[in-house]
Amino acid sequence: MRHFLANIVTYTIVALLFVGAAAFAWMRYAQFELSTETAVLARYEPPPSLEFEWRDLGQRGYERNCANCHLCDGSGWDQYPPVTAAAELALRAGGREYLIDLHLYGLTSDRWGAPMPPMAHMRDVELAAVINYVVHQLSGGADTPLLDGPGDITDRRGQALSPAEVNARRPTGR
Amino acid sequence: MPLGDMHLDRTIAGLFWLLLYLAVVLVPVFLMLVPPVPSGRPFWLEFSVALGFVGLTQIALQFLLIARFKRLTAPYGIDIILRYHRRIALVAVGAILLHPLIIVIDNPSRLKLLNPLSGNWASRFGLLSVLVLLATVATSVFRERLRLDYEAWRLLHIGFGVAAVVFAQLHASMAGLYINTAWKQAVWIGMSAAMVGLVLYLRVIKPLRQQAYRWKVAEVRAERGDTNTLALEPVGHGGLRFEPGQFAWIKLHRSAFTLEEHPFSFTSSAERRDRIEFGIQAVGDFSSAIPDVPPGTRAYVDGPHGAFTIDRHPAAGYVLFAGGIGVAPFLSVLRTMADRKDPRPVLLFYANTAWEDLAYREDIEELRERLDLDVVYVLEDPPEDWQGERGYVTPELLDRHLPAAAVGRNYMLCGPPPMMDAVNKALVERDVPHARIRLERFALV
Repeated sequence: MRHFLANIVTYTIVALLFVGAAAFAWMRYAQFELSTETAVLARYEPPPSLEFEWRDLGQRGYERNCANCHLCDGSGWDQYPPVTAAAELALRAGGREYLIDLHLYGLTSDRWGAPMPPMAHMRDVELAAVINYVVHQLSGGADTPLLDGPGDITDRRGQALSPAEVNARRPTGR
Repeated sequence: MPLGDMHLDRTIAGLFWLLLYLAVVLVPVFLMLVPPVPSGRPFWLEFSVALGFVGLTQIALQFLLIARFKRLTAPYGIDIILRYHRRIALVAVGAILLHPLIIVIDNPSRLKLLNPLSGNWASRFGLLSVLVLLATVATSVFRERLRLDYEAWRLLHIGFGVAAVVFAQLHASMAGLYINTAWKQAVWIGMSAAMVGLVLYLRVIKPLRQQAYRWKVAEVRAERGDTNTLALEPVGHGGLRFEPGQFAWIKLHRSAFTLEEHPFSFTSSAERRDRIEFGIQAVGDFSSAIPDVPPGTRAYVDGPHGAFTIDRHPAAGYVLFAGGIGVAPFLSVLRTMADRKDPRPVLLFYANTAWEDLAYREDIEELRERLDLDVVYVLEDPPEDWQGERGYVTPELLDRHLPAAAVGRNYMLCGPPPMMDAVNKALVERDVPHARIRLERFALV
């Protein structure tokens, strides 16, 4: 009886642990968070008539999703590259598209030990804001923002590129 | 306290620890939903992260399970806890292996993180942790095939366990996408450190306390069937209270810090606290050396442990099934009942190979005069003039001997697993309720 019960309890615990893990995964996937008002507001795409306000959103998105590897000032560490070359890359032919693609589809190369994971799960508005933040705040890009709004991201979705293919499209020079 | 209440208490205590266990495993995971959090990623990717975290807390919690806290183990019995430890640890390792597997399937470019020459420190520590865990599983499952002796394995197991948790925690902290604030780091590192710290409790603090709670070997008595009785007497303290059928971990060493420690069943009466005895069959290096232990040798006792006792499972009478040295806990049961002048009927099935190897045969015959005790000896290799039962404890044999009106009796089984399984099955087929059958799986390690 004792061992019989113990088996039932063991299997119950194992099942509950996996259910718990799945519940956590689902909440994360559904963007659930124990949240603040600004975080909730940031989730809605702004109406197109409004000006694209990327500075705050970009900084917040960068700090939550990127700063862990590239650090808050974008200087990188260990096998994570600095992002401070982004402004220079953006000026090259095809640089703008390359910057968007590497965020949507990831990037892997011999230059660095760690691959860049795809960030396609981020919403267009947030991703566009982050890219602008990286180019203009962290790598000293020009005054005109690189991306005009979420539409620039939307246009480049659905290409089914692999991280290696993205690397092959890296613009070489001016 | 009435026995019914005691039972309820243990049930409530059992449920309490169970819920606490689930909370300890899952709460730190769900705390990572508190902002700031990274944007949610695809379900399978998040699931793999959750599996990694659940696996880490599981492995860390194993240290709590093996720390032998009596309050925690009493509701279940430590044999159950150790069996749970073996199973859940395998589940945890499985979950941990799924974590990198799903991540790489999600995006194969991450494969290079598994190469320690590329990758980063977070991935290197993750890799190390997985390798150490696999080594832990291999050395535990194949310990006998690898000819690892018990003490070496024990040291290895502790070392591997600590390394696995430390490396896994470093991996999670350095990857830092989820554990991304100082307070989250504090919760996770605090939990892992506390669990690993329990090794200090079991291996340093507990032995320190044992140093002041010494025993000495009073006598080593040879019994039949390669068995020896080890008798211990307390040195400078009042002894130990146990329930008949329980066991204790014994160290025979000058220092309580030795890792050489083995569990044995009490064979003496629970009514005697000033002298305790254990029945030890020579099967390994430690148990074979028992006859050479001189009287006066220092000893340490960690116990009592176990839930296989008549005091926790009161009944109108008992039917006991012993296979070989499995008779040891029942000897304590019978001696205690005799000392208590317990009038309840007991039927003992005692299976062994040969009549001459029947350990404690004379003691049991003596106890028959002091108790309402019937004994059925079952011999595999009986002498020529043997009139009793031969072979194994079969269902037909049970039908010949089980009393017709045995309502309210408890059935206790202790012996080799095939025998226990067969008898258990036969009893269930004879409408004995599960709740009345107790099995002692004494192969703890």
